[in-house]
Amino acid sequence: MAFAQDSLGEKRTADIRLEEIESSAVDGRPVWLITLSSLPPLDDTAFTMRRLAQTMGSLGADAGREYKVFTVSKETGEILSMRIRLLATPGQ
Amino acid sequence: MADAATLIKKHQGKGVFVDANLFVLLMVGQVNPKRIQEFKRTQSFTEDDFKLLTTLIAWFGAPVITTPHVLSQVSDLTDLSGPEGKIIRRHFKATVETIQEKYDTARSLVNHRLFERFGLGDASVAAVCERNVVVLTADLQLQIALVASGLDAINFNHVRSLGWRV
Repeated sequence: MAFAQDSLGEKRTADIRLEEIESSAVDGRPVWLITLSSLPPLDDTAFTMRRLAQTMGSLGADAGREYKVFTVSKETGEILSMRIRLLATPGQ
Repeated sequence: MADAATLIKKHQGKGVFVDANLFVLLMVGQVNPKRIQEFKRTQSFTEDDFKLLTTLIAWFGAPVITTPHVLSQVSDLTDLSGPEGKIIRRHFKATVETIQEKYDTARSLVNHRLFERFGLGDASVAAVCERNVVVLTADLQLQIALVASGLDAINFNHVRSLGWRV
């Protein structure tokens, strides 16, 4: 999880947590898809809106947490990409 | 929602539902822990994860609970090559003879609210979880769906992070 803290900074990786590791391939290269979650800063307007949406059940997942997927090369350990992961609850 | 540590304490000695991917880890680790990081279905886990899983199962106590649908997945996913392919079948047989199977008909499960999104196997997991059984899984989407339904489900990856030991 150190790579996430290095790339995103301490402020955006509060209470960081490993959520899932999946094996996959990107452009024929074997990769790990590593999902981490953290608590974004409370003064972040976008986070506040997201938390409100989660409270209302439109996004689901663990209320207040932000999920990110890091694509990491199995061969080199290099981080190839990072994206936000939205997780829905049943019925959505 | 209750965190992993809270659910581990709450369900001590009450048995646990082990989801398919972790069940595969259990089987491969019992046959040869060295193969965990080589085998395609378990390479995201380590030998320490296998030890943690066995420790957790012991903590929750007998019985390990599952469904025929999940066992079918596990049987298909434990296709080890070489002589260990037969050994893992024997371990699977011995394990199945000691676990508790909960059965819901496919006809019933296809009407479960999780079926359309997750399929028959995960619907069978949810149906058992609704009987006050805690589920241990490494599948984030399933764990979130169960928790969102008010059920007790532990993300094994959270326990890895805790460095939890009995």
